[in-house]
Amino acid sequence: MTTVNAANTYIVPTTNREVTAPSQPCFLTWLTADESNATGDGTVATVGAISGFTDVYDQNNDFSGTSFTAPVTGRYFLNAHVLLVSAAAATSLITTLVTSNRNYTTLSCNVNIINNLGCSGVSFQTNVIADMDAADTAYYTIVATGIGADTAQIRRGTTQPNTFFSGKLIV
Amino acid sequence: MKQICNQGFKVSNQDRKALDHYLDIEPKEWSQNALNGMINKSVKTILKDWLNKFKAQAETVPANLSQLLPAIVNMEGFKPYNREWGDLIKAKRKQAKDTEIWSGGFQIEEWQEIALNAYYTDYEQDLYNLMENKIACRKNAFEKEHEAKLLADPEVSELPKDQDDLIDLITSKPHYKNRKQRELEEIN
Repeated sequence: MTTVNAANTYIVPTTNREVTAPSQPCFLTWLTADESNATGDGTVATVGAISGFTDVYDQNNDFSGTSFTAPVTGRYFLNAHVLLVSAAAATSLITTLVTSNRNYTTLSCNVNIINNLGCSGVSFQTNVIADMDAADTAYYTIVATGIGADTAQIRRGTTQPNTFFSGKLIV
Repeated sequence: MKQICNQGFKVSNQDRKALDHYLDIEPKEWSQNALNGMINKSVKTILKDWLNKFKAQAETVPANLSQLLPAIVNMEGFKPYNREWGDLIKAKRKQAKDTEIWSGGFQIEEWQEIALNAYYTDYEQDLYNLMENKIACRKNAFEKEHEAKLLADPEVSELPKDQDDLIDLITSKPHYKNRKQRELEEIN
């Protein structure tokens, strides 16, 4: 059995009774390459602005460049993760998941403490079920201050994603 | 390049206040982002569905979208999608729409228009409808957000019955701040 409208097969129960939704907005995208000299001196870096993202999947074709565009008004689970390296001298880091209706911000001060523990970088993750109207957009930014120059790098990850963005329509 | 949505878009005073309560960008930039999303969706969907079929037919496959997209759309057997944005709503308003928020429209490349026409029934009307839907959604959200606050306020004896009246009431309060003003205050 499948459930269809004029354009799509949108609910597909499998022979083993799982239910899939091939047209449901759902994406996972991974930074295409390391982004060097992204921030450090107060520059707000939009994650993906330098190298772009590579889709792992984008099953309703809603992600492009650095942004997800909501195809319908609803509640969207969004998950953004970023790894910043060469940020040992940073005195503060702010990440923001920017959506059209509001921003979701994390703030970390005294990053030196984290780096003095021997970590090679600092990672941040933001999760939210966001209210988005049709055609609203969402993207992720990071700003480091205190380094003195924009020398911090957003790390892609070679075999495992370090910086990625995913989301799906919940209701 | 082609200029689209030349008629611009006008909103009422209360429409603008509701948008400014939530948006930290200008409505024209919001619409430009929406248009970018529409172009992306058209292009990605067409490539996902038709590129392999095109490869099977064509002698050569152009490596740039400005040539590839028109070639796919013109290939034998290609069917337009005729999509429309569903479930969009219209704003309730008492006053005339007399404030221009995006005069002049937007510019798109010729191949982008080919992609949009192949995917949407009327992409220009969709862009107008999306802006109208955005206003309606934000006015409804504004009403919901502030009605709850008014109900909890012992000094308020009566709720405005009309959405536009409620927006005027809230935004005329001396300490009211829209999103840009709130964020500026937070930074300072």
